[in-house]
Amino acid sequence: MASLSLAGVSKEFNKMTAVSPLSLDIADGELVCLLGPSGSGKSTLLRMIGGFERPSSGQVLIAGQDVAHTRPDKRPTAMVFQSHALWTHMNVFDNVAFGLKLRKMSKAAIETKVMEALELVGLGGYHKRMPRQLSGGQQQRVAIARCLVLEPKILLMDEPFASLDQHLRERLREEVRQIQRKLKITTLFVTHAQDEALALADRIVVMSMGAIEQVGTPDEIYANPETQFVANFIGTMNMIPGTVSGGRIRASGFDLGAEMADGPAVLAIRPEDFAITETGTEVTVKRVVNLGPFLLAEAEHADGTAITVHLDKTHPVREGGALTLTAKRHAVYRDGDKPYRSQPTA
Amino acid sequence: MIGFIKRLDWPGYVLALFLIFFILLPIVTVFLWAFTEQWFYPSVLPTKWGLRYWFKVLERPDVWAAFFTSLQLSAIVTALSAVICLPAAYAFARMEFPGKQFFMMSFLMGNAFPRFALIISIAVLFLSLNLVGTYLGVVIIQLLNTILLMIWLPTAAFQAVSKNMEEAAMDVGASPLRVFWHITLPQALPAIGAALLMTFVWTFYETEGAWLVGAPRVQTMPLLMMSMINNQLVVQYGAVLSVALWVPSLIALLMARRVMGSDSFAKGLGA
Repeated sequence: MASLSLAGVSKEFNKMTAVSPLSLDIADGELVCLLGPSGSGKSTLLRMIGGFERPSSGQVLIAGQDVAHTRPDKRPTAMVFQSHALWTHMNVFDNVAFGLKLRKMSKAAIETKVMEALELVGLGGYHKRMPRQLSGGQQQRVAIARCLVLEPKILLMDEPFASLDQHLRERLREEVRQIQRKLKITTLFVTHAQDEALALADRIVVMSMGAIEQVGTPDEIYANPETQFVANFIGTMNMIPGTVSGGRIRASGFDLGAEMADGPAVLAIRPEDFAITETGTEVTVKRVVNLGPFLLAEAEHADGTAITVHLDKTHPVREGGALTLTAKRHAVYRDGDKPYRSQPTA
Repeated sequence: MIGFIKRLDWPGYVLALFLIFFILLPIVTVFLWAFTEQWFYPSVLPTKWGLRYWFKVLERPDVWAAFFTSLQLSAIVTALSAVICLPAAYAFARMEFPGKQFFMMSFLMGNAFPRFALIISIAVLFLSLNLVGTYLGVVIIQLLNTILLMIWLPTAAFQAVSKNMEEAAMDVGASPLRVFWHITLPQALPAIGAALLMTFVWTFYETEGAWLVGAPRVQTMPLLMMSMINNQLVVQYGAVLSVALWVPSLIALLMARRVMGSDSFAKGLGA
């Protein structure tokens, strides 16, 4: 196991910037998720760490050693691909054993290690099967075993569960988390699914357009998004355009504190950060959805702004009825400015 | 109602009749003639069966000489074609270089010309190079015939190998050469096997090039068949040689199926 540091790493394809120069430190044994929409540069970044893309600039340091220009087969990394990438002409045993055979280990040692790895991913007894005889989830477990058996210093996972159904994804990500904790292996996990990142990661790196928007723990990222992009991308956030004047923002009937320069800005309030009060901003409920533990009300302000509110199930609410809202907690964003965050009220 | 329409699958029946008439019937006729000693009109089947013409054909030393010449030529041309075309196919599939599309299309364009005219112009060139009437000349002309198949089919096969599979192999420590040997080649093997087999069979049956460049000194089986039929029109000679020529391709096909497995072999042929 080892730490991973990126120092000024960038990538250009035909003069188009895929990843702007960025730096990042990942501690030994940490599980970090690279989260972002398609085209945000997260997979390119992962491929540069794995050696499949050569950085246009910067250093990729694994345990302090720069491997930016080292071939993938010479790097202490192992990658799980989205497409599983199992070798269909080999059975499960040979798929997992291939890397060990290249390292010229003895037959007995290879057999022991392969069987252990397959047991670890819950596929004991499947070693003679061909990849086509396995389900998508089982194939991905073989791909994980193929990486783990080599005891890499860094484990890279490129949207490994993207092709699996929701139930299987949740199960596998729990298993991956358990294995990662057990082996204490430094892991970088690429995903575009925020629920996956929030559930798995020690820290999340949110990326957009080839740059890092924010690095933080799942709680920090969710509670205190540092940019408008992160606020919009993580969880559900009501983003209401408004104007700041004299230290207050006025937007769709809300009049809230905003210690920033005067001008246009965006008021951000999470659905669960509204309170139903006697006085406040009045909205009309358009639709109510029962989400189990709470109700989700899709409402609309008189100026046409859509507002999503989470309500306690005991709260009387009906479609077409009115709600009077105040914000328990809010933030104000403007590109290029430091965001303003209110202190939560009781 | 739907079941009734399905039972009367007329296009299917028409297609079946078409296949029987144009493919099965000529083959059956050739087989019948090969084992016929007499067949007079209006009898539907031969009036006298026998192996007399087989003995006549097989006791001729020039038949065996031509057979082994054809076998040897096919093996040499297929091997040379593999050595030249497979690396080229890999380069076309996996590398970027100037003129790549042009070269790919040029193989196709070469085959779009009327074959006979093309071979005549090559034969004229060979004449000035003293290659006409030589074994080497026949090898070269037949080799040129195989390029389209031996580049296009393996190129498609190499392109179809998932890049992630190759990267996964590199990722676990395989050098580029090992990736090619352990992953890329086995993945592309069914299609490459099909291309090799078709090259072998095509070369074995190739007539125009062998005739224009090789005749009369280099005598292949198809050339011998032509001369036997031209000299005395005995249908049985042609039929016996046709069946005899069919045997090597059948053996090659059966061997290929045995080595590669019917599924992957069919996949290689595009099934």
